[in-house]
Amino acid sequence: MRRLLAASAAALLLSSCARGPAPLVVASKPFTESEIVGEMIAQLAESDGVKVERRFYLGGGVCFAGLKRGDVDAYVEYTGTGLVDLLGEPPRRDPAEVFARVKKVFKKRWNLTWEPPLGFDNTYALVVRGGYAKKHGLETISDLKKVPGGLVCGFDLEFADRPDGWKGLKAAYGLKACREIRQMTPGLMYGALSAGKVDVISGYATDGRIASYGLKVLDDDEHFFPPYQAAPLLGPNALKKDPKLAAHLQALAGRIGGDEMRALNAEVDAGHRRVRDVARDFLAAQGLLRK
Amino acid sequence: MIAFFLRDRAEILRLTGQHLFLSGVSLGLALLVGAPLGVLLTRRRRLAPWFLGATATIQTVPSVALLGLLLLLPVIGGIGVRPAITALFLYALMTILESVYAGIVSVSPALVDVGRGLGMTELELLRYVELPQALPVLVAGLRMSTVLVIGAATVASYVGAGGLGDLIFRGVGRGDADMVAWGALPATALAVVAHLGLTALERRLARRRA
Repeated sequence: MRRLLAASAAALLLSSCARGPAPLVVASKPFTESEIVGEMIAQLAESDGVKVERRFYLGGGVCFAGLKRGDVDAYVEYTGTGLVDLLGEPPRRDPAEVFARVKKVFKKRWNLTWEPPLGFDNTYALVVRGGYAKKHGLETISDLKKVPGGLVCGFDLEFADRPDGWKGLKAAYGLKACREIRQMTPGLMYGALSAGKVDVISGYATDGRIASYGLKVLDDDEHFFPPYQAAPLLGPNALKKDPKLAAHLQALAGRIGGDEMRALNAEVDAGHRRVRDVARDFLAAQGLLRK
Repeated sequence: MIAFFLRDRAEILRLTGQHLFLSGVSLGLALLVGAPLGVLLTRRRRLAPWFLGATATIQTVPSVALLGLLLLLPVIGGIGVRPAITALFLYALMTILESVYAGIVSVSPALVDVGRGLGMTELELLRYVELPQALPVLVAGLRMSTVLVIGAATVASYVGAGGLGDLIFRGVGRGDADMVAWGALPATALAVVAHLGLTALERRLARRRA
C-alpha cells in the first residue's frame, strides 16, 4: 500500500515534467457550444500532426485564468464577455468596434491574440414559451410590460447581477421587477421554462433547445444586449506549438453562422451525438479537414 | 440509461480511473503528511490547537472557492491535476490529522506509564503502545476522509483534472439525465465500497484489540 502510494506520487511528479514537445492545450467553457468550437480547434491542430491536450468544460473564469498563466493555449471567447467582464469596460453596440477594442487591449495588456470571429453572435436573449408569447401577444422585450402581474424569472448565475444583464435591461426597458428570480445553471433553464416553472429565461441566442422545445426569443427592440461574437483567443505559445494554426483559423472565420451553430448545438444537446463527431463532420463538410 | 453505458463505457471507465487516481494520490499524500504531523502534535500539545484549527478552517472553504483560489497560485495551483490534488489533499488532511491526534491523546496515561516503566524509548512507546491502541480511531478517520475525498473529487472537473465530475457537470449542462447518472453512480459506488472496506477493517481491528 505504502509503496503503491509512493509510486503514484512519483508518477504524478514525473508526468508534470516535460516529456517531448509540450502539447497544445485547448480549453472550453462549461457549455456545449464552447466545447464544439474548442474541439474544432483541437482537430485542426491535430491535422497538422500537433499533439493536443483537451481541457474542456472548465468552470466560469477558469479558461481565461489558465490562458493568462500559460496553462491554456487556446479557447473560444465571446467579444462582449471580453469587453465587459474581462476588461471591465462599458458595453458597446457595434460588433466590429467591440472586436477591434478587445483585440487591441488584450494584445497590449496580456499578449493574448484574438483571431477573426467564427461567424455567430451568441448574445443573451430573453426567451419565453411559444404558447405564452401567443397568449400575451409577445414579440419584443418591450412587450413584456403587457404581461399582468410579475414575471417568474429564471436567470443563470451571472445574468441576474451583470450590468449588461437583468439590472441594466430592466432599467433600459422600464420593466417591472421579477415577482421571483430563480437562479439556475444555463443547462436547466430551458427545461424549467418548457415545464412552466418559470415565465422567462435569460437564454443564449444560439442554443439548440430554443427550436427543439418550441420556445420564442423576444426581439431586443432597444438593442440593449451587446454583441457576443465568438472568436478564438490564443496565448503567446499557441502559434509556436502549431505555426499553421493561424491559417486554419483564418479559413474557419465566418464559416459558422447563427443557424449553423444552433444546429450543431442541437445535434449534441438534443441528438446526443458526440462532440468530436459533430465537430469532425462539420469541418469535413466545409473542406477544412484534410486527412 | 443502459444504452448510454453501452455506448460510452470506455469513457465511463476512463473517468472512473481518473477519479480513483485523484482520490488515491490525495489521500496517500494526506496520510504521508498527516500521520507524522499528528504524532508530532501529540508531543508538542501546545501547538495542536493552531494546526487543527488551521486545517479545520481550510475544510470549511467550499471546494469550488478553494479551487478558484488555487487557480492563482504558482506550482501547486493553475489548471489540471495538480490544483485538484492540492485541494483534495487539504480536505483529507484535517480528518487524518485530527484522528491521529485524538487517537493517540485518548490512549490511557496509565498504559503509557507502564510502557515508560518498562524502559521503552519514545519510538517503542509509539510503536507498541500508542499506535496499536489508537488504531481503530485512525482507521475511522481514514474512512471518513476517503469518503469525503471521493465525493469532493467530482469538483476536480472544474479545473480540468477530469474524473467523474466531467460526466456530472456535462450532463447537467446538456440536460442529459443519463450522463449525470453515469457520473454519479460510479462515484457513489466507489465511496460505498471504500466505506464498507474500511468499516470491515475497523471492526477487525476493534475485535483484535478486545
